[in-house]
Amino acid sequence: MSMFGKKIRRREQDFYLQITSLIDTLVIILVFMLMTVGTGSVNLEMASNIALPWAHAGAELPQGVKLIAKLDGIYLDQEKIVPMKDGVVPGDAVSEGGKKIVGLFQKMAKLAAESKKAADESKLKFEGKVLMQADKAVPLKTVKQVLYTSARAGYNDFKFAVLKQ
Amino acid sequence: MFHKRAHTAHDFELNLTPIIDCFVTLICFMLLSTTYVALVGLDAKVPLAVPASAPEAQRKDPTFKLDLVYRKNGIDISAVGAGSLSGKRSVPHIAGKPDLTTLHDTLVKIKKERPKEFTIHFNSDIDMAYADLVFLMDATRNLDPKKDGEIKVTDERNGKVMLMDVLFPDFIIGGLSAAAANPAKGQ
Repeated sequence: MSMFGKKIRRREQDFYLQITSLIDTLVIILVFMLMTVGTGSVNLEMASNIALPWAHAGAELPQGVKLIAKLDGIYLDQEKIVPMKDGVVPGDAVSEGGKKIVGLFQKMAKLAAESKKAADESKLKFEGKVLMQADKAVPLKTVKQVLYTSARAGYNDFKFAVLKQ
Repeated sequence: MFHKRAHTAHDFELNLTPIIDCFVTLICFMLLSTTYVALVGLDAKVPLAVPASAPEAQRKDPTFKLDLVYRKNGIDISAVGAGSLSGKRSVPHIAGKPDLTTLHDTLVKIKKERPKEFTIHFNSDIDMAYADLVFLMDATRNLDPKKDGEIKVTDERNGKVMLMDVLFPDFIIGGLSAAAANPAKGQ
């Protein structure tokens, strides 16, 4: 007698695990994961606190030096190189009539020298590729300064990382 | 201490069906509500100190040149060697924003005239946001055969007819030195 006064009749049954639905679910998850796994040659993480512009289409992102231009500064491989205010490089941080960003040039020139040396040792060609993530509010003037500085340091192949719409 | 436990018959039934139903619903909800970010790259070329990297098409046929100048009130398109579309025309801004649709349509017409050209030179008379630059690159790069019409070219090497799916992807950002020094003056 149970507490509700009803007899619970328990039948003797074989244990039966319904795995069909479970397998269906797993297959869906598996297909989804396979479809979304990137096949690109580079795994570029989107920088934090940055609003990237979007585009309808673009090319795959290759390997390269990762430059980030946020409103508060320019970062080279996650390291803040040049502080900025509202995306503008301070006047004392530039040379050659405002075209070249001194701190960034020094870092990139050093990096280029190391990369060229490593490329020579492994008999490869130094390609000088730059992957640039820039906040959409950064002025064109700053972008041009970064391009000019990078080109002077030996990096001539630029790719702007944007969101695919 | 050790009692004999009477073995009862199997009366345990694990009903997994409602649990799996819940999981399926949950997964569907997660898949639909998640935003996935895909990063792609837009090529940008710099003509600075790299004369050897001048575009192949430009070296072969120097009579064609396509320039884009971003101004305060509009975008100037200047084409040389584009047949009847040669010359300078302006695409005025709409409500202060660049008219990318008209710009794109104009470039499609030029592309139909010179399908084997891929280079466009960009310059800016004023300072602008990086986002506007990317929108311009997007408008000048992509060609949708369904929407813009099919542009076919014949491959000279094997004689095959190919369907063009890009507009002017070689986007050369010019005027780095002058504009970086003082964007207000421009060129």
